[in-house]
Amino acid sequence: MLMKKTPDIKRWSVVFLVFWVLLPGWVWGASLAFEGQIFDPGPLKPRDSELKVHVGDRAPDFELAAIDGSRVRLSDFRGRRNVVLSFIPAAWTPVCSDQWPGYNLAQSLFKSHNTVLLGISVDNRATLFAWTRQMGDLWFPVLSDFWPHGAVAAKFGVLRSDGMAERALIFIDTHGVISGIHVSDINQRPHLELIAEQLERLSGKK
Amino acid sequence: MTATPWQVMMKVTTGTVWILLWLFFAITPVTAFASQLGPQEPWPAVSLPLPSDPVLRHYLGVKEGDAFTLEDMASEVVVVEIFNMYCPFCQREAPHVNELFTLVDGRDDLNQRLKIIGIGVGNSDFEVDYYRRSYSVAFPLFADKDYAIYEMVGKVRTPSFFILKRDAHRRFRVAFVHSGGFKTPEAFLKEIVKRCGL
Repeated sequence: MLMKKTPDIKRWSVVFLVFWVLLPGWVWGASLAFEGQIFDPGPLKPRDSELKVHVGDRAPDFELAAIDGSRVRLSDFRGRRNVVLSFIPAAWTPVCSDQWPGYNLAQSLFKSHNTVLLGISVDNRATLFAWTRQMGDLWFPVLSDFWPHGAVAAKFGVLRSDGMAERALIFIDTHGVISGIHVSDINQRPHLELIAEQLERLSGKK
Repeated sequence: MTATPWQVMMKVTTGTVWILLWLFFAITPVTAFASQLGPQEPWPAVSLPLPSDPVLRHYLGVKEGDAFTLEDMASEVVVVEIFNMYCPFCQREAPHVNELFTLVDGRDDLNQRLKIIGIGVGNSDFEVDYYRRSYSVAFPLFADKDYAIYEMVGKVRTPSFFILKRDAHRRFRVAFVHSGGFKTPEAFLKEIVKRCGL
């Protein structure tokens, strides 16, 4: 009897074990449905570049293509609007994927300080299109600094050695002069109050 | 061929090991290995800052002190929304959670027994307040800037809703968890009422 039953127990145990091992994966996968689409590179070197601009400098001019194909030139805002450049490291990565949706909610904060936000990534337009579709309708232009690769990020000194950009915010006043620079630890999202304080400074309220 | 006593003993031992293994996996709940706080588990005894707004203090049922735990509240059931100001799903869900609050508030049989709070994970006070003002959230929201509560509840996706019910010792335990947006505020309230026996 024992000789016959043992193989059955083994067979069923293997089946059950496979099921038991796979089940938690399914449960965790379902609970992480959104994150499942994001590539996690793990912790990165917090900062890997050297700034080439400083507060008080005139911001180097550039022209980049937005996702919709239009061209955006920094100097076009001179004399009219303050500008915040938001460099993010790369599309489809954890912190970046919820940074701009937060700025999307903060539209009134930027508008109340006569400020335009320009999102900049070293990814190509196709990648940026697919990625930002997940964020809803962004009110600010997202610019591709793909080719020559990271040329604008390099001008400001926020291009990392691996080809990604730093997580950086550059604040530029209506005269085209840099009034604030914040390069975050690439693994962390800067808090909104940092932007609010810089915007108040830009509009002369602080 | 007849098995030797040694062979019989080995077969019996192997079979017993397999049966014990089978029983172990069969009776061990999957949630025991998952990090997310699951049904029947106690809500961590986290201290939250008591809002200065007297309306919110009245809503929580806690009048004095600088901090409180959920046990200090008067309600039988608490819905804890885990959100993030930066999360687009949470932003889309905010009006629905407001509707849920309005539904409960309008029910005299429920509004003292069921309360809603929100915890903004990874958000500063400024960010939570920005979210509150953006969506005119009327229930209390708290910042979990250093992700401490987020870690305690098991790094759930946002938004997630922990529905907590008091046990016999008046301690809050998880009745159930809802991840992501809910279908309609009415259906979600109905589910809460049913599953918590309100």
